[in-house]
Amino acid sequence: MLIEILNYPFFQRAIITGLLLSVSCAILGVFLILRRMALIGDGISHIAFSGIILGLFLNIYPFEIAIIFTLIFSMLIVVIKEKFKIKNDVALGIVFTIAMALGITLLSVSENINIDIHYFLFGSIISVTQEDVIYSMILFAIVITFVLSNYKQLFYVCFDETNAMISGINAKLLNILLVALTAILTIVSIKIIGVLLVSSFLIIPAATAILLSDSFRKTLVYSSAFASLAVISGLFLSYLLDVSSGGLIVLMSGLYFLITGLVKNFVKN
Amino acid sequence: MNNKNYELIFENVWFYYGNYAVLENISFRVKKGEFLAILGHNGAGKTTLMKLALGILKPSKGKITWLFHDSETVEPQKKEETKVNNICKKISYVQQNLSEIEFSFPANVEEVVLLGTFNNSLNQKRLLDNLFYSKEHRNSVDKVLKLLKIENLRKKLIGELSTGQLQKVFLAKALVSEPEVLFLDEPTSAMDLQSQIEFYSLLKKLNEQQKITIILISHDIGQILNYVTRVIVLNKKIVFEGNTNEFDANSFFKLTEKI
Repeated sequence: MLIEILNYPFFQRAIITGLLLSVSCAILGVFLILRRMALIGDGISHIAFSGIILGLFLNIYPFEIAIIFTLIFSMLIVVIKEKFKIKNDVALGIVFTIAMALGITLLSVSENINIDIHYFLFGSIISVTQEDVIYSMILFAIVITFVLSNYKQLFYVCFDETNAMISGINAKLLNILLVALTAILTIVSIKIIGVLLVSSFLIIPAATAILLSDSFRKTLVYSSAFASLAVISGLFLSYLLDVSSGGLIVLMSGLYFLITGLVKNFVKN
Repeated sequence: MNNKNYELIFENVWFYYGNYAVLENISFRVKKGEFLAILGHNGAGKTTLMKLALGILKPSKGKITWLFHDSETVEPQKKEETKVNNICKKISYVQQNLSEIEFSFPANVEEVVLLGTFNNSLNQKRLLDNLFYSKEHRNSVDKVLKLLKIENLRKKLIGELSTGQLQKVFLAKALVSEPEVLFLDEPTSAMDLQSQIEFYSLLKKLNEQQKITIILISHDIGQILNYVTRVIVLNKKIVFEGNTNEFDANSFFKLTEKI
């Protein structure tokens, strides 16, 4: 029965897209957590929600408009933090609520936006198109290339920004690229997992890997493995139980985190 | 490179945070092979001064120069434009707050020390260069771990180390690139007396045997004076500068009374 489902093109697309996006998020998530920017995905997903509303409001290239809007506001988080010398979480809180407010205002004045809010809040695995698969593949390739070609720099900046800068690393640029990639990944992932849960892709697998790992390199591998496991088990279970796939993927992710934490504590004691 | 002479020169350097002067008219020189302590109370401008020397901050007024005796002059505040690699190959920095390091950071000692071999200009030739470390770099790590007698910690997660061990790991990271100048910001602030003595003896050995110039800043004069050769006392301005034997430790508190 489980094998049978693999024959459905919609399920194949869901599995491929889910794996590509979750692994990309899981890898970036490690860097975000270690940069103490774990909740940026949550903020960006809210910005993206307004971006989507703006796209639909303008009714031209909604997806592209949403990406540009999200990128601009995500960059604002970095700029405000730097210019006003405030902490990451404060900058995030200010920018994403303003972006949300813009979206809500637009929604209230517009009569021609006719969207199913549920669809954006919780995502829908059935809605994954061939185009989404291609987007995910491109994004996955970009994320992997970015991380592989900047592995030492990213590690150094996360671990010790001052010394990284003394070594000639452009920490600000790396930060901006990291946030920009996260923003684009978030928008694309919203379709599969929804605004409310998308940040879990960035946080839970990475946090689980950090619990378990004894080296930085392994953390990236474990994070990808936990993300894949959550997507595969979540999708199959959602088919078997006929419930929301997004919710189940995150619940499975949470379960792996819990088990890892408990086992680690048990072994330690 | 070790045969060349060099000097770090501060000339009438001022630094302001907004309208508040953190450093006023600072002038001094550090020569090759010195073991210098910059002392002062918290807020005296010690860390700012170190960041200026490293080129992380730019002076509001005045000039900071690294003078190399083959007449190559590098101003740290102009690093980005020209000679960044010349400086960063020669200088290592051990930061003040180890507590700023995330202790749950999933990295082991070997990975952290290997970071010290990183030099942005020498990487990125090939994709794999940026992913793996060369045998040469691994050998340097072996050497430095042995020197500091911490080979047994190699595969330990940094979160599992004591403060003294962690400080040695950061020293190893700083030494692995074979620097000519080593900056240390309050390196012993969280150590017990025994660890402090052990740590300073180690620095003295590095200074004498490997001819590494050491510039160390501290608010605590406890053990330092037994090891360093020269002292600068900072209280926004330089209030004392001289050899260790000229320095009266009893005058420290008077010199560093808040202005």
